[in-house]
Amino acid sequence: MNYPRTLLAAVVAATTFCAAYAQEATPEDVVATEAAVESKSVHDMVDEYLNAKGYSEGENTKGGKPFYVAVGYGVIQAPLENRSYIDSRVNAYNKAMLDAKAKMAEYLEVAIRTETEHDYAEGNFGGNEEAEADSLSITSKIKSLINAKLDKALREEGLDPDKAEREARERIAKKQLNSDFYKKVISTAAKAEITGMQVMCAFEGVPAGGKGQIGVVAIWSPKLQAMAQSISRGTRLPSGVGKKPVKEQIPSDNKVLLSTFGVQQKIDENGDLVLVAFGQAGAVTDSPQSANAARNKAKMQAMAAIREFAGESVAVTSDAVNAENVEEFENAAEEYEDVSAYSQKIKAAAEKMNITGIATIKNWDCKHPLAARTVYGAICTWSPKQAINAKDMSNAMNGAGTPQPQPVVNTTDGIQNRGADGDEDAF
Amino acid sequence: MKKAVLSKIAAISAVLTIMLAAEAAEPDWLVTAKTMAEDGEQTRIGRSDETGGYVIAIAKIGETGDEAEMLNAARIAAKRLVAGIVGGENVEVAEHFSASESANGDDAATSETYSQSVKVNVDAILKGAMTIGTVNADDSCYTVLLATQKNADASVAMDSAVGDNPNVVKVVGFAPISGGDIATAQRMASESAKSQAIEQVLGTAVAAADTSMNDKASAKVFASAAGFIKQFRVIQEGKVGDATYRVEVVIEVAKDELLKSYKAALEALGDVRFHVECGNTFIREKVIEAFSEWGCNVTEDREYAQYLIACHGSFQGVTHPANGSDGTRCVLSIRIVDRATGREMLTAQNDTRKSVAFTGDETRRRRLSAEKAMKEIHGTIHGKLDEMVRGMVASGRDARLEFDNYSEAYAASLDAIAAALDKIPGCEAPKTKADAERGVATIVFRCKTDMDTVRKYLNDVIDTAGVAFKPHQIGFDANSVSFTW
Repeated sequence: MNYPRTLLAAVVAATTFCAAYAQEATPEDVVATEAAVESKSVHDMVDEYLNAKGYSEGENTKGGKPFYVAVGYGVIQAPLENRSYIDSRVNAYNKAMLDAKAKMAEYLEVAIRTETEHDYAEGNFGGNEEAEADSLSITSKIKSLINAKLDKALREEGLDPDKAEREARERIAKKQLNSDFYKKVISTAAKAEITGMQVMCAFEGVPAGGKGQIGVVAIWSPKLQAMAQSISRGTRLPSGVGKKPVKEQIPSDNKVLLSTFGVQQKIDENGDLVLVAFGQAGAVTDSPQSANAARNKAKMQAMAAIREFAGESVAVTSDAVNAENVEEFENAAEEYEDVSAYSQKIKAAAEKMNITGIATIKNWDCKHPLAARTVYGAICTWSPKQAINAKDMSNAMNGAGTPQPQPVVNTTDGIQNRGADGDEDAF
Repeated sequence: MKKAVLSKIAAISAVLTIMLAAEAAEPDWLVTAKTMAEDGEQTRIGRSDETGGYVIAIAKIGETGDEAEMLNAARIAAKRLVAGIVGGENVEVAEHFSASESANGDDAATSETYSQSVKVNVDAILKGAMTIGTVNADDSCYTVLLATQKNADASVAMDSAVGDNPNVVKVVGFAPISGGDIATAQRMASESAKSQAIEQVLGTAVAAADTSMNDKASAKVFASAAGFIKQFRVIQEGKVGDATYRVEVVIEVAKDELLKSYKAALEALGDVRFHVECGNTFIREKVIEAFSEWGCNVTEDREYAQYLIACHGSFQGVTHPANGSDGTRCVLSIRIVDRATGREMLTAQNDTRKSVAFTGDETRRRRLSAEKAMKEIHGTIHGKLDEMVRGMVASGRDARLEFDNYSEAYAASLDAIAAALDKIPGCEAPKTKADAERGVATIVFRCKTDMDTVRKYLNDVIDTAGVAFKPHQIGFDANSVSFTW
């Protein structure tokens, strides 16, 4: 049972690995020729991809123009058998994208606070009864009063109530030679409005018997930023050299689509920039209603990706504490104790935005090879041209007549759509 | 009669020619739609020389249940798609992620939480969107909705051209043939054509609300068309292939008739009733007559009316400037107010100079003067009523949920109902007002749909919205639903 699952995982990993590259070439061909690649971790796949492209995390340049690359990872938390496994994959992608956006936000500006403490002590400085006495609260005073009365009663009976405590204190003081305590706290906080960040490629890997992960390589460039602003401001963008129709650039193999998430910018046959958003969802039950709901959820995920591309507020806070304490005793014994904690919180919010001209160009579904559950997918597109067509129709329906075209906005980086690689030309 | 109708078609304005031109390109659209269905493509936006901008949407027709309902549901689904493209998808996203780990000696623990909420709302008025047929692909049947810029222009032109030509709308209705049942398909195709005729003139209000929070999803779509069919003639009908029945009809929906009669529009909003209040019997009768002619349901019982038509008429004596004879003029003002909220919906006053009468005795002069005043104010009132009814259909009207037996214990439930109401398509801006001493509470909101639809949705929503104390519905009318706790 273990062997087939391992093999299956390897195939899935290989498929998805290839799928990632496939976004830029012809995915189906790559899958067919490289299906025998052995299973790799998502981190390895991401590293290999970045190396192959010559990219590194952070700022890069292409033709003298800057762009930013961020990598993020998300764990698929649901077990394979769980009915929510498919949605958990989607959550893993969203978490990976959030991770990438958080890194981008931290790159833009981050506030860092650190606090370090190191205490070394030899011998025993005795009790601190006076300080304790000062800090007595009413409750503890009542307790002390009761204890004092009890102690008095014990003494009257000829017993020493402090004996055990005093002996323990003396024993410790006698044995402990020194103590070494170290603590470091690091806190970071960043908040930024992230606009125009797209998925360059996504990777999915599910090791045999372990939890799967999704990794994304996300990218930001001034051209993507201009496209994002076009969504909110309705500005037009200049056209470049045309490529294949967008539908033909989308992988036809559902297994490739399985590992394709988020928004990608492409160039259509007229040389116009088009956003292509990929959404996925799982069905809660096997009923047709549930399937319809899953298709709708997939479409919503795609629309949410377009909305997020148009800009969202991302806030990330991280806290890490590392502490250790070592105590040496007379008999050459040593006690080591470590305490560490780490937490990260990311919040992203994209407020209501009315987006006209989103078209659903494909609905697809297929069985997930490992979970044996159906994945429902939707692919939506948005472009300034589509928005203008939709607005024209909206105006016609409202009797406002055809609006004057918006002036073309020349972005600072321009558009030179002459490269061989489709996706690279688009950002 | 058929000849007469066809001659009318030949005479209608260029706007109809545009619509016919769109139909002429129909086979291409269906081929496009079939390709879309085969490729899993739901919507396509484009631009052509013939039509300007266009949107094609296809929606799968369900296979179980009442066929007419399934077809209608598919049409609504297709309209929702077009409305989302044209009117915009209002998208809101919120994500929260937190991860932590801690280690204390040999004990270690990690935790991770993630939540995502996506809300999408659609609110648009579609005009000129037509169901152009059905297509089959992959053992499924899809209804095809086409919206083009030229059709929308034509629809708006028809809408705004009042009274110039008698108007006739030519539409094509389609229905799938299921199990060889031609009669049912024919009936469904005819019904579809009627709906489209209405929609092409008044438009369709489409509102949808989709929410997705992790694996929970809910969607509500509301679409309504209001209108008035006068005559209906079938020009051509027959099977298209084995699976579709096509009916080409001419529907006589004269533009001016449609605009004069608000009967259908008001019926679509529910049973909206008016009550006329006027101290002058003659003026009152004339006002009732005018509003009834315009298709308004006028009731004698004030308590059953949602809107009050308050008329104030007075007569003033004047002297003829040339011959010094006695005359009478009428000062007439008409207001329509929402009976429940007191909100003024429209107000109009006559031009008193045009109501002067010098013939006959005082009684006769008053009658003549009142008639002149009514005639003069008629056009103004009609125009404003037109604006009012269209506003009610398009952007909503004030509506209420009324609760009795209210106490402060129900405050949280009242708020939960208001929040739930806001999620019902066609309902927005709910405001609560509670008076625990009097034991009554009200939620006032803007409503674009009929109250029967609202109360049905409300029943579902209250069940799922976490309302701790659910009130019982005890009645409803055109603008309100009553509950008791």
